[in-house]
Amino acid sequence: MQTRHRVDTSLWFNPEETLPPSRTIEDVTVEQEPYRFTPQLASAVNLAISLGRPLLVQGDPGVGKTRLAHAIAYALGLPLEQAHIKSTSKGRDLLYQYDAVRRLHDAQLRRWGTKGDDARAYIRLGPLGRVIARAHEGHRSVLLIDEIDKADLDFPNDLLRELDELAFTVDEVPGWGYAVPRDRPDLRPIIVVTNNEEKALPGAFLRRCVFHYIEFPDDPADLDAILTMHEVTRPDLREAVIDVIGRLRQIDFARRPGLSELLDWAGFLQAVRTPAEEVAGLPYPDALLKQRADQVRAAERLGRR
Amino acid sequence: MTGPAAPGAGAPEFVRQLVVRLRRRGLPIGLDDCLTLRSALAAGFGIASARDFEALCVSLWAKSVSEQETIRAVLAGADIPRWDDAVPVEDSGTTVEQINIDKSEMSDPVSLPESPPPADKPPPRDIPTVHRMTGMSLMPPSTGQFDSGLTVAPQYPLTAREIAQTWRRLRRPVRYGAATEVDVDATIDRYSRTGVFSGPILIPPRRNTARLMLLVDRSGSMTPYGNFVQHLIREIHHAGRLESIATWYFRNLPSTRADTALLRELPDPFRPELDPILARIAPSSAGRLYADPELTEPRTFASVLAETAPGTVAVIVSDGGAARGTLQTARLVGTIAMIKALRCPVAWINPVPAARWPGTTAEQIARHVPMSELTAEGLHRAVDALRGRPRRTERPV
Repeated sequence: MQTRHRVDTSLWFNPEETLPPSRTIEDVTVEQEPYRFTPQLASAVNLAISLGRPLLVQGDPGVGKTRLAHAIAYALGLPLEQAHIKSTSKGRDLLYQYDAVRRLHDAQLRRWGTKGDDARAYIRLGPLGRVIARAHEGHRSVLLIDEIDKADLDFPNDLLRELDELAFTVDEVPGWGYAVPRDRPDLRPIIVVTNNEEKALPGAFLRRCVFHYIEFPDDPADLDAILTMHEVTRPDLREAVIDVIGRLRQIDFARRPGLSELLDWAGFLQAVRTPAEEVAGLPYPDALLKQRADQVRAAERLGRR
Repeated sequence: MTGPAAPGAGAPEFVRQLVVRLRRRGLPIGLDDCLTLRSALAAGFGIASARDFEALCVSLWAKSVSEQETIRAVLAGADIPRWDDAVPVEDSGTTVEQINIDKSEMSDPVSLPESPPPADKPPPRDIPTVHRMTGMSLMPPSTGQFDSGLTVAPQYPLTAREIAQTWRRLRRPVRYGAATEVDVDATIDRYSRTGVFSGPILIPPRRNTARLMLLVDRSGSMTPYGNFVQHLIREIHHAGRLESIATWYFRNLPSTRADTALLRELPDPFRPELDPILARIAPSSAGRLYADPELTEPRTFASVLAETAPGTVAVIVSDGGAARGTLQTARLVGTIAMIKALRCPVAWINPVPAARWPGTTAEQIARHVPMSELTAEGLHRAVDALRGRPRRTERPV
C-alpha cells in the first residue's frame, strides 16, 4: 500500500491541550494563535492528518478558515508554509520556479568569467516544493493553500499527481526531485486548503480532500469563549456584544457580519471603554456592516426597540 | 487488498445501502471512498456514536454544503444501527492499542458491525417536545431541533458536477491583457540572433474569452422543465469560467410574426421540410427578449444582438413544440429566421426526450440546428457544437 494511503495516527492533534503564549518552532518564535476548535473541526483535522489527505475548509468569509492552519501549526509545533493563491498562480509555482531568463543572462556574462553553469542555482522551490523537500530530509511541516478558487481552473488539476504521491521532479534538472519517503507516513505534510466557493473546483481534486464546513458559532457560550480568547475581558461587554450579534444575525443582510468583523468591533469597543448599556444602540457600525443598505436596515431594526 | 475490498462483500449491509442511495442522489461514491471510510473507522474515527459516524461520512464524502445536507438526509433515512459509546475517544491509550490491532488485521475482513458496539440502552434520540401555545402564534410549534431526515433537497437528473464538467470544456484561450509572462522561446531566439541579451520578452497570459448567450424559452409547454432549466443555468453560471454569460428569456419565439408567404412556394404542402426555401428565409431580429425569467423586463431582440460581442456562441433551451407534440410550419420559419439573425454557432438543448421529437416542429428544427437532449451526453454534444465540431445535421442553416 502506498504511503499516501496508509493510516497513521502517531500525531494526534488535541485542541484541549494548554499551550504557552509563544513557542520557538525551528529557530522562529511564533505567537500563539487564539482559536477555538469545535469537536467536529478537531476530529476533521485529525482525520486529515491520519489519512494524509488535504483538509478542505469552507465557510463564510471571516469565520477563521485561514487562521485554522496557523492554529494547527502552532499547536503541533510545526513550521507553517503558506501559499496564497492569486488569479495568475500556476500549479508549478507551488512546486518550484525556474528562472530561465536569468540563466540566459548569466550565460552571456560567463564568457568573461569562469563560473560553471548549474541549473540548480536558478531553481527556487515554492511552498509545496519546500514542504516535500523538508519531508525528504525528515522534517514535517504544515502547508496552507489559501483561497484555491482564486486561481485558474487548471490550477488544482495540475497538482493532482503531486498531492497524491507527495513527490515531484524538477523538469529542468534531470534526476533532481524530492519525495516524502514511502515508508514514513509520519512525515507527510499536513495540508490545509481554504475555498471561498467563488468557482466550482474540479471533482478529481475534491475527491482527494477531507471536507469541513466551519459554521458561525451560534451558541452564546462559544462566542463568549472566543471573545475571551481575543482579550475582550469585560464580562458585561461580552454579554452585550453577544446579545447584539444574536439579534443582528436574525436580520437578513446582504452581507452578514462574520466572526472577524465581530472581533474587530468588540476589540474596539473594549479599547475605547464603551459602557455595556450603549452597545445595544450599535455604536461604530462601520466595523461590523460593510454595506450602506445593511447599516440602514440595522439602525431601523435595532433602533425600534 | 483482495477479498474484502468490494463494498458489498466485506462491508455490512447498511454501507452498501448507503452507497447506493448516495449514488442515486448523484454523489459518485466509489470503491476508493469506501476503502477510505473503512480505514478511517479502523483508525478509530467515527465509532464513538452515530453522530460521529455521520460527521466522518460528511468529512470524507461531502465537498460542499449541499452535499453535506444530502449525506445527512440519506444517513437519517438509512437503516443504520444507532449507538452511543459512553467511553470518550480522547482516551489515547486505548485508541492506540485498538489501532495497532486493527492495522495488523487490515488484510482480514474487518467486521464493521462489531466496531460500533450494539446499543445496550434505549438510544438517546432527541425527543420532540411540544410547547403549550399561548394566545395566537404565528410560527408553528417547533421542536427546536434540526432534523436532517426532513431536509428536502432538490434532486435533478443532472448534478451540478456533471453540468460543471461539461461546460468547462467551452474554452477559447486568447492571450490578452498586461504582459506578465516570459516568452522563453522568443527571448532565446532574439538572443541567438543578436548575440546580446537585452532583457526578457513578455507576453500577456492566456485567458478564456469564450462568450456565451443563453436563450431560454419560458412558454407554457416549458413549465414542467422550468426548475430543471433554471438549475442548469445556475450551474453553468457557477461553473463556466467564461468571459461573459448573458441569459435572455422569451416565449416560444422572440417574435410571433413569421414571414409565412414563403411557405406557399413549397412544392408539396403536406411535407413539412423547408429545404427548397431554406436559403430564402431572411434573418429576422424582430420581437423582444426578456432579462428575467418572469418575462417582465423586455428588450428588443435587435438591441440585444447589437450589443453581442463577436465571438459569442449561443445556446437555445426550448422544447421546440415537442412538449405539446405539434408541428407548426410558421414557427419553424420563425425559428430559422431567428437562428439566422444570431450569426454565430448555435446549439439547441431540448429538455423533451428525443423519442418525442418525431412529428413535431422540433424534429424539423433538428434537421437544421444541432439539437440535443438535456442529458449529460446531450450537453456534451451541445458543447461540442459550440466548439465548432457539431454532429452532422441534415441541412445546416
